[in-house]
Amino acid sequence: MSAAVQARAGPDGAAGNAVAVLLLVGAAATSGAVYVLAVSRIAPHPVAQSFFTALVCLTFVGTGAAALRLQPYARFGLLLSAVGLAALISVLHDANHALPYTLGVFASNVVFAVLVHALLAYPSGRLGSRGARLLVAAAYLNTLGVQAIAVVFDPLTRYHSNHPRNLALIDRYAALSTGLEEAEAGIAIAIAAAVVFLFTRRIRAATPAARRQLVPVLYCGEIALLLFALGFVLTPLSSPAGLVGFGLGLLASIALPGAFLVTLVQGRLSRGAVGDLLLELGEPGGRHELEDALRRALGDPSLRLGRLAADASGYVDSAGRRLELPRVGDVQVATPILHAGEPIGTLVHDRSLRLRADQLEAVSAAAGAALASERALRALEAVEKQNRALLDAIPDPMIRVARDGTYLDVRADDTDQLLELPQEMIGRNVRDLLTPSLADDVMDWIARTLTDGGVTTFEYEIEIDGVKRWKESRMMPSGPDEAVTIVRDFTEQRRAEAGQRRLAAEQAALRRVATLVAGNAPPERVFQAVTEEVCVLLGLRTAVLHRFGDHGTTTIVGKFGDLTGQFELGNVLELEVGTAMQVLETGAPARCDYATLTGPGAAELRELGFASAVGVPITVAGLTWGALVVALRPDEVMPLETEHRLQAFAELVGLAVASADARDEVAASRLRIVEASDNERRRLERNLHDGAQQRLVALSLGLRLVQAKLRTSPEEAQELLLKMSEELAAAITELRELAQGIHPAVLTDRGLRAALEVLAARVPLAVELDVDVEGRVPESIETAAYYTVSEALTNVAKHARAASAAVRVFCEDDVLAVEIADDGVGGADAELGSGLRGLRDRVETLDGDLWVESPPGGGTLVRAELPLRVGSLAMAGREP
Amino acid sequence: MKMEHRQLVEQVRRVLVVDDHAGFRGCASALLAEEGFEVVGEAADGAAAVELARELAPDVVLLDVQLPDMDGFAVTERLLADDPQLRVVLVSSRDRSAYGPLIEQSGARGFVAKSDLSGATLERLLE
Repeated sequence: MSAAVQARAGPDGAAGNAVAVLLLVGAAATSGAVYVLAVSRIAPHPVAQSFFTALVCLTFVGTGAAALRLQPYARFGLLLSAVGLAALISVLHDANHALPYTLGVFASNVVFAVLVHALLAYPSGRLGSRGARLLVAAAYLNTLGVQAIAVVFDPLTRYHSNHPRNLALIDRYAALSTGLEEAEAGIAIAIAAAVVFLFTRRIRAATPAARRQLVPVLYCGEIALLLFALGFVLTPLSSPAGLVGFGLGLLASIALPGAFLVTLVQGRLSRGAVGDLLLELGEPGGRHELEDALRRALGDPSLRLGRLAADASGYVDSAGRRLELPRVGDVQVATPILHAGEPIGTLVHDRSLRLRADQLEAVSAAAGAALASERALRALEAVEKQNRALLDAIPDPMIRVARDGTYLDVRADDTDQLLELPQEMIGRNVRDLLTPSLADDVMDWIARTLTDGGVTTFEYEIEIDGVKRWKESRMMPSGPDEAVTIVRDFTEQRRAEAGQRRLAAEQAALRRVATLVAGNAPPERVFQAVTEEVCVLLGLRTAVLHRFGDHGTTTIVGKFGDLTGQFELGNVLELEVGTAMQVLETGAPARCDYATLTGPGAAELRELGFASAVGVPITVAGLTWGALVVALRPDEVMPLETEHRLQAFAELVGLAVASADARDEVAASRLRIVEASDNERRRLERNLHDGAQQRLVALSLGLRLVQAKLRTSPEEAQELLLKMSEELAAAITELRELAQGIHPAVLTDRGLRAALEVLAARVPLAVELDVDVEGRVPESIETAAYYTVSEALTNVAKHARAASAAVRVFCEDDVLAVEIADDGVGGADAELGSGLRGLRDRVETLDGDLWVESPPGGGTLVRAELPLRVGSLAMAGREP
Repeated sequence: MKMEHRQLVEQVRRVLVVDDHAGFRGCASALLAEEGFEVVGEAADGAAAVELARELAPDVVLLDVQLPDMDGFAVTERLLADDPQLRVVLVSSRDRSAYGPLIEQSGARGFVAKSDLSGATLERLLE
């Protein structure tokens, strides 16, 4: 008993001592038995018997000692050892002395009882049921009690004639002892049968795990018992036969420790299964897989794994349902699974597994590790889920890449931002997809990120579908040998910035040119400035400004850069098929490739190293005035929007030209006004000189003649005076008309309506007059309107061959409109008639406009518009 | 002196009147005739004046400065080219200051404003 206690205390120390003691006892007992046999005078086969006895004893004691080291089998080990030692007792049959012989006869059958005891106590070493205890008690009573009674009445002469004396013999009563021995045999058979019956029931009721443990040992035990029982039966009939029976029983019982050893080895193998289990748990698997692995490891298909519920209120099974723990007395028991000292789950398993406590412990530890890792995995999954949700919320592509540059994972909402579809990228290497230099950079970044450990930001450019894009990569390690990068595309931003910079430069250049234009710089200076600004802005070396002439010629009016040959300023060239000609023909931007052109100009340009050209029209007053052409060398490329940008400059050139034209026109108009004024003075002087003055001169001469005639011929003088008074009247009329022609007094005194009424009355044709003007308009406007009507009606009377004319004067949107229409022959030309041109100059001086519509045969309409606002300002300025 | 003057006047009484204004020509011819001059002809422009001067050989040409085809100075040049002795007297409705040195440079004998014209003024210029 103390050995068993010690064995329980510790597997290596105390159990080791117990085993040593047991082995020593076994060895000593076996040695004693061999000695008895060796010196025996009666042993028929001392050597064979010694070997046989030692084999049986040492097998049982050895197995028992082995079981002592395995804590749940310690008690059973002791019982096995007891069987071995009990088997030695029979050796005393061959002792030379009476005392050991008598003791041997008394106890020779006890081995049967010990065997029954051991078998019924298997595997825990305890007798679990009342029946078992009764049977064991019966067996001991039978082999010791019944045997003892039989021995005291038996002279024991059946085995050997020369055996020692039976010290316990009370009386020779052969019939009684034989009867008792037969009864003992019967009882032994009955016990053996009962044991078989119990075993059969027990095996049938056992769980598979328990059955696997029970079957080898119990079956072997049964066979041994039956053979023993046979020995009992045979002993009364024939001593050697009985010995053979016992011998066979003992021999068979050797199978018992063998079977037990097999079971133990099975257990060892199961512990190997724990190793497998640990390996298996290393593999990813579901919750059920863990349970199945545990079942396999412990050989218990009924095993259920409980995980600590999230609220720690109990356990849940692999399906997530609440797991009810077995109650005391159930076939199943629960073993808690601990991790770091805390319960993390439970194993509900067959009670029998408790016998393999170390295995259970190992499996439970493995399950603990698995559950802990499962739990950590779940926590990780939760974090990962959160991260993933975060990543999902980030619109930018996320790429996981291994240290060696292999794409591990690619996620992107917008696959347009990727070089390939994610599934095409995964598994490939950056070197397969990126340009060598970018791949080098990326490999460098990965290495640096994995070395530094933190978030590193890189910027790079990449061409996707032929479009250059700017990217920013934020890379951080996602494992020992991999990094994750979030790639942000900021192409639009970059483009916008570049566009803004470009726009600012363009605006500045345009502003410089516009300042020149606004400052009335000579067009030649504007042309030069434009060619220069365009080159600087677009990063080109040469620009030329053409001015198209008549008869297919063009003049180089502006040039910047290293263009030589015929393209010198002021050169007049024949237009040939090319950019400029295309611009002239279409009035739209054009591009040409010199390689496809055959003209001498193109040849010269090719020779000068130019490859192509882009040109835009310069439009003045709706006509294509010229072209702005930039010549490109082979290394210079022009994006598509170039034409737009050139156009802005071309428009400024057009504006400069138009403005210069307008200035010329103003100067010409001023000249015409001066000339008209001079002509008017000349006309007045001529009229005065030729008209009134001549008449007055003639009158003065006439008066002198009259003076002379008065003396010689008073009648003639009388006649002369009469002629002279007529001449004087004519002179007065002429002077009056002349004065009227200088400025109509009625216009000053009575206003436009009255003046036009007088005018209409003087014209020798029917004039319908419609003047719709409230009050007076500024004097300059009134005068211009009056003379417009006057000149127009004079023209009608002189040239139109019209029957009637209509004059309308009305105010419209701060403009005084004057219309003179006739039903004459038409065909008048405002440019040719000096009268109309003078009128136009006068109207334009007042910021007004004058049109003449005069289709041949369709009458003539002259319309003048005079802005009242400018006029009133002019008038206001004139007033003191 | 007086005799010489009379002789001279009597020698130079044949006058050609040149002016584009018919009214003036009429008045001037009537006035000069009244005052003892013989108006041998009248011309309305420079070309006609040169022609008639050759034909009629007048003593005096009363020549208006302002003519439709050429001015009086040019006509004077032509007339004097034909006959350097011819006496050309320029007339104008403007006064002398309008022409200034041009009159003397032309080679004409004198200038008289139309309003001042009379036989006496003409005679004074011819003396």
